[in-house]
Amino acid sequence: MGELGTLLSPWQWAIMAALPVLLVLLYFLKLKRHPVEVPSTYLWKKSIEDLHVNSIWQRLRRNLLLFLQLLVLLLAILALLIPYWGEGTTSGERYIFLIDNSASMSADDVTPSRLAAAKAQVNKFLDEQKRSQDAVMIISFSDTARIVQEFTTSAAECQAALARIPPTTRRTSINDALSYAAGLANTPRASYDPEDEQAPEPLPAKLWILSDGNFTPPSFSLGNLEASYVPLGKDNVDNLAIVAFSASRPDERSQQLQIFGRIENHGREDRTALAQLYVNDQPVDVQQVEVPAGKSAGVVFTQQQLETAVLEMRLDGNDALNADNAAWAVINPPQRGKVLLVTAGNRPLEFALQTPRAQAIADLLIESPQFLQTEEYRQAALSGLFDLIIFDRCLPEPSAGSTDAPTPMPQSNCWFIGLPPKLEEWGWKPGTPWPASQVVGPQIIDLERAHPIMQLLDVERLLIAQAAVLTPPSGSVTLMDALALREVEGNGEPQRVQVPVFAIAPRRGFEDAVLSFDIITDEQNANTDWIKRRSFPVMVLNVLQYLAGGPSEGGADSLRPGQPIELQVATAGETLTVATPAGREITVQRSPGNVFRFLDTDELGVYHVQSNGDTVERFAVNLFDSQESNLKPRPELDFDWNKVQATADTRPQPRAGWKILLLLALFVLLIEWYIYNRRVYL
Amino acid sequence: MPTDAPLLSPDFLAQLERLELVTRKVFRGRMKGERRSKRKGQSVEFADFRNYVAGDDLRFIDWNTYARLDRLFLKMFLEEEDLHFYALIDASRSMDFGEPTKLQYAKQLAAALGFIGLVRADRVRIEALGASNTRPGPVLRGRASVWRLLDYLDQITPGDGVPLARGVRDFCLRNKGQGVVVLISDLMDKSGYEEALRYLVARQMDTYVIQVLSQEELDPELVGDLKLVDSEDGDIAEITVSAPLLKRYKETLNAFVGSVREYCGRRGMTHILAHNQLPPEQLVVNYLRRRGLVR
Repeated sequence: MGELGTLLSPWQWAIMAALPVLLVLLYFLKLKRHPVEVPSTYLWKKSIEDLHVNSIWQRLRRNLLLFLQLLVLLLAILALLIPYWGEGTTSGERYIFLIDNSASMSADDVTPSRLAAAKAQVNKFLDEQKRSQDAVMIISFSDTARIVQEFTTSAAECQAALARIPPTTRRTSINDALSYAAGLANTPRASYDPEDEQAPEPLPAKLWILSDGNFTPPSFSLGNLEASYVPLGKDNVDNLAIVAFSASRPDERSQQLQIFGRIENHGREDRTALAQLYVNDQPVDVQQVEVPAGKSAGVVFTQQQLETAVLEMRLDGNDALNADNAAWAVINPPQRGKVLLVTAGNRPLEFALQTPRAQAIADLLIESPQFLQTEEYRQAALSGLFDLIIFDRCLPEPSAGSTDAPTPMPQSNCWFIGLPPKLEEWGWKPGTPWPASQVVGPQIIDLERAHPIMQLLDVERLLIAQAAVLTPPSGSVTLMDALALREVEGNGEPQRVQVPVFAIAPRRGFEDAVLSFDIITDEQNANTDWIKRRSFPVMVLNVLQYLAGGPSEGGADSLRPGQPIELQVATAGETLTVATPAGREITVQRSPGNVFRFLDTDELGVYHVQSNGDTVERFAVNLFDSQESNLKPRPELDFDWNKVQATADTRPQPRAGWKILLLLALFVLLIEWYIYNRRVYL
Repeated sequence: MPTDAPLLSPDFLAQLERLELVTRKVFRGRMKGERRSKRKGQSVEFADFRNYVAGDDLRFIDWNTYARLDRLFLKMFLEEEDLHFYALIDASRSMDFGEPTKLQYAKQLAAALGFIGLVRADRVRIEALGASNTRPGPVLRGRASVWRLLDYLDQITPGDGVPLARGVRDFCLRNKGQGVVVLISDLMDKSGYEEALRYLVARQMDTYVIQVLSQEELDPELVGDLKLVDSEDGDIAEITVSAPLLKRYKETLNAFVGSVREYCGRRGMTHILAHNQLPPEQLVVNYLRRRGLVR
């Protein structure tokens, strides 16, 4: 009971103590008998006189109702108090609240929203715990988790932190949040030796998960976490959601743009959805779609070819979640990669780079090796004007003009043919001849077919006259291995050795591919019969697609909220401005690797990337998550190891005892009622 | 039954016409009536012979006997006289309960019995006991007096708390004659009913005690903690209604009724228990006939 004393304030105790007194007083008041006139009290008096013989028992019996009522009251009070018994709520208890702020928590089936309801629950808990010494930690989670409040005993701090949890449009993943929560509770023990004093003591905590459970519970062992799950939201909530929206042009009618949308009905009744299509904010089309309950339905719009447009599909009508009632797709102006081919003449390669497919991917500029010494090249190399520079049997000159310096690498992807770059990573040493050694007649023995560049290639029995020996840097991928004769120093006898002849290595955000044999020699002779094979243009196309980055179809790659994007914009400036759907303007710095990394994609809608005031690119962020759109709260969380049942409230879990007590009280009340009404005494 | 309803319905009257009051004792009447008297007199019913003495009415000499025996005998006939019928209605406040009230019920009974008496040329007198302000009832004879009888009954109101015994004593002081007396009362008198009955026994009257109880008294429908107030003396009994108490009450009531019955039985009185839910017709035609008050 000592613990109870600190749990209840004195006046609460006073109220509780006053209840029985009040009842007795009421009972005495009740004893004010109601006067009734009867013909004669003659017989009554006689009857009472008889009964007065055992008057003590009579008095007891008369008060039996009072006793029963006191008993009921006592049981009810105990039922209220018992839950707190032995809970040890007063000090040292740790509470961790995981608050879901994913997109589905913005549903307004509970007013004002599920997130607000969750906050209100925690606030209520904090209000009740104000006087205690419990430590409370608050973690919000959507697709990532964030500790909004470290363990603290200050309810005010917690409430302030709670208020800061924003609603997001992200999907849900509880893994991080659970890991954070488990960090303190379940100490990883290096050894199971019980005398190991190095391991910190695990600190058990009570874990409250306030969520709608719209995520796949991971396999997770809660260990010392005593988890409770408070599902938020109503079961019978209607929601129509757009889960896909994209535009593409079918090959046969390439002048037309087909726009696909997919609508899911997460309600319990069949619905008719009115899908409206907007092009650049102008309504252009509308379709009516029947969506059966629990199923999805597709909608297709056809539009004339649009060079550049912002497409939006909206669902008419209100439902619980608004975030999935609109979807956007962007058709950006056709953007092709820029490829610079520096060669002294290479007909097969030029031809392969100018096939219609290759032209669709990239614009080609062919320059002679003298171009590498111009200022124009230096500017282009530094600003990353080209997506890919192909150095055919040549290397960019060091600025000082000295031949014994490492190759200055441009801010682009590079493809070196015949001559590897003079870089220490590639085995170059100052003052040594380059390339270091040559092999004759290498035979291809292995291909890295998993790499995109090596897709669909058939290089069996490829003939190669001469190749340089590659020493690819660490982290590189060897695309082609060959077996070749090589003269070993000292011995004079050539030996068969395995040498890489085609490799690709990352370089600070770029990638450099090196083909160690010439395609055409300086004398315009073929160094390999690859150029006569079908696989050669395929390989060139693969290189173009991989290193020069062909454009994607309009709207196909919609981002999810919170997903970062790397903007590859050909601009000379160091910054870009991104205008969010809400109108905020965010300045993005150029990252190493000639890309602009943009992370702030929490808002749904179309983002405009601006450079010097001109919109150069747009991209759309859509929810597109069936799991978030399905608003029906999960009844329980199954972490494989532990099942967490739903509870309605964040109050301390009452012990099972209160139910028995309350049932007992009800039973006594029934007896009392029976005795009173039937006037039956024991 | 509302109090302004006629005490006797026409149907009931028709039934009563066929009845007559009966007494187990033969009393001397005051006037010629329809009943055999102890006295010999003039009637068609032969009683006895006696020797002629000088002065006897020659019309009663049996000349046939004289011719045969040569002696004068006087034929004596049974005298037919009237019956004195008294109905005593307890008009104390305790009678003013029930639906219909016990008093109303008593009035109906008295009216029915009085009507039978009047039809049969008996001497009928109704008296209200316990009501000090009520004038003594008139002596009624003959069918024509029915209306006076009913008038008198109508003006009986529940009176003051005059003990039953005093009412009966006053009645006995006022009425010297013998006859049939019907006491209609609930007998709920704290000072006891025995004294009152003793007066009637002492007058050697043919006494019927009709004890009228209301349904509320027989089977109380009381609930809760109550303060019972006596309607006559304001006495208070505090009770908490409970099953044992009610059981106890019924036992007490049965004992009380049983004691009255025994008391009456021992003294040649007839005790009849009636309750206000029993129609007066049924009581008179069935019960009283079975108990021999009417025929």
